[in-house]
Amino acid sequence: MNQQMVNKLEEKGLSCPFVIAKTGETTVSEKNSSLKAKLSQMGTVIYESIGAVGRIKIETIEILGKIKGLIMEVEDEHIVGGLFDQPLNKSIPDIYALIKDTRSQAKPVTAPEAKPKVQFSPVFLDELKAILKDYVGDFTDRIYQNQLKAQRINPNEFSEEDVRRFILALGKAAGMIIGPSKGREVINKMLAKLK
Amino acid sequence: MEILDKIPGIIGYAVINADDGSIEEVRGSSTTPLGDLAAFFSSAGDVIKNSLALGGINYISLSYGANRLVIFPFDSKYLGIEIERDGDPLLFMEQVKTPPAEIAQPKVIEVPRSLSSKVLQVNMLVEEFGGEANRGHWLEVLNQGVGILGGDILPFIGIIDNKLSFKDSPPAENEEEFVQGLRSIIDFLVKKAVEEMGSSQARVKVQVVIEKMRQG
Repeated sequence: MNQQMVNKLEEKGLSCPFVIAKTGETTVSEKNSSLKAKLSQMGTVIYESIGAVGRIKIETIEILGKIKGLIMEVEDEHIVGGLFDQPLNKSIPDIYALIKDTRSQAKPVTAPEAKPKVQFSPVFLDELKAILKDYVGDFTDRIYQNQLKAQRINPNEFSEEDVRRFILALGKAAGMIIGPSKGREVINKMLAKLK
Repeated sequence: MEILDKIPGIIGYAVINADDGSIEEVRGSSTTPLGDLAAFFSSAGDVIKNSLALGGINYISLSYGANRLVIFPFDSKYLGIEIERDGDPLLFMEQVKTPPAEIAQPKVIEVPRSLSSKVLQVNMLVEEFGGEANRGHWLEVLNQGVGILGGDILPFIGIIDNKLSFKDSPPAENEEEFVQGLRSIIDFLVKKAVEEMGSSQARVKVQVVIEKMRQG
């Protein structure tokens, strides 16, 4: 499946597309096989950097040099992107649109242990908001709305991973008002709702 | 890097020593660990640049949530600036690299009275709570409040020369939302003052600010 996606991206005009799984498995087109090892190393460096920072869900990465550039979409188990000569022959939003479009047609193969995305009811978010209100009172609406936007959560369609990220962000923000230990309490109460 | 405080749209920034990757400075109202992100990814960028022969780094951009961090070399440092996700990195880099003296006509910032009076109140509260001795601490508290409660107002305001200020004219259609944001920030400061100095002392200081504002 990953090979199919790389080939499709190449057909659509990306000169050196790649898929790098978190496991290290790297897929490139036949034409770019000489770059496979270096792209794989690049993937390792990216995953290590993301792991080192930890708390942030990075969704896209661009590394633009004077000679070549990298444009990548980051998902939990893989990175999909391309290596380009500068100047780019497509705009960056066009490249992301192309990757997104191709990805939706051929989802990359993820690690076997990857959990399927569980969908939650919007009512669940109201329950989180009620917990938040017990701790931060009048600040609830602003914190809730700001974090909903900052974490780009769609209240009508979100996964467990989205919820976890949202809970951590709410707890962190609440902690700045009521202190870090109470903030941790907020997180624990909200996470308990997930079980 | 005081110039970064004044550029509209920069929510926060980090300055990284390009030689050893150490974090030299982190400022602004961002709730993201900008120092760590900029330090790790500037080092990663150096490794990747050499390995894949990218040439000198123009910039590295990381998108997360509603924002992005743009990391780029500047003198012997890496700067990491947090902007809104749909912001144009090149535009911001250009502004950072243009010395203020070369900017032909400084922008006139127009702020409705409903917002300017709230910002004035915020600054008076910080001054009253912190005085000369404790101002740094209260500016930190203010930064936290702005970061978690400011919302959409964040790209338009920042602390410049120890005062909360508008860096750009806010869009008229957001006036009410921005007033609400500033009101929350004021409530946050008062709550913190009550915690730190007790309700009676905090109340006296708030009263002093109200009195000063009344006198104009």
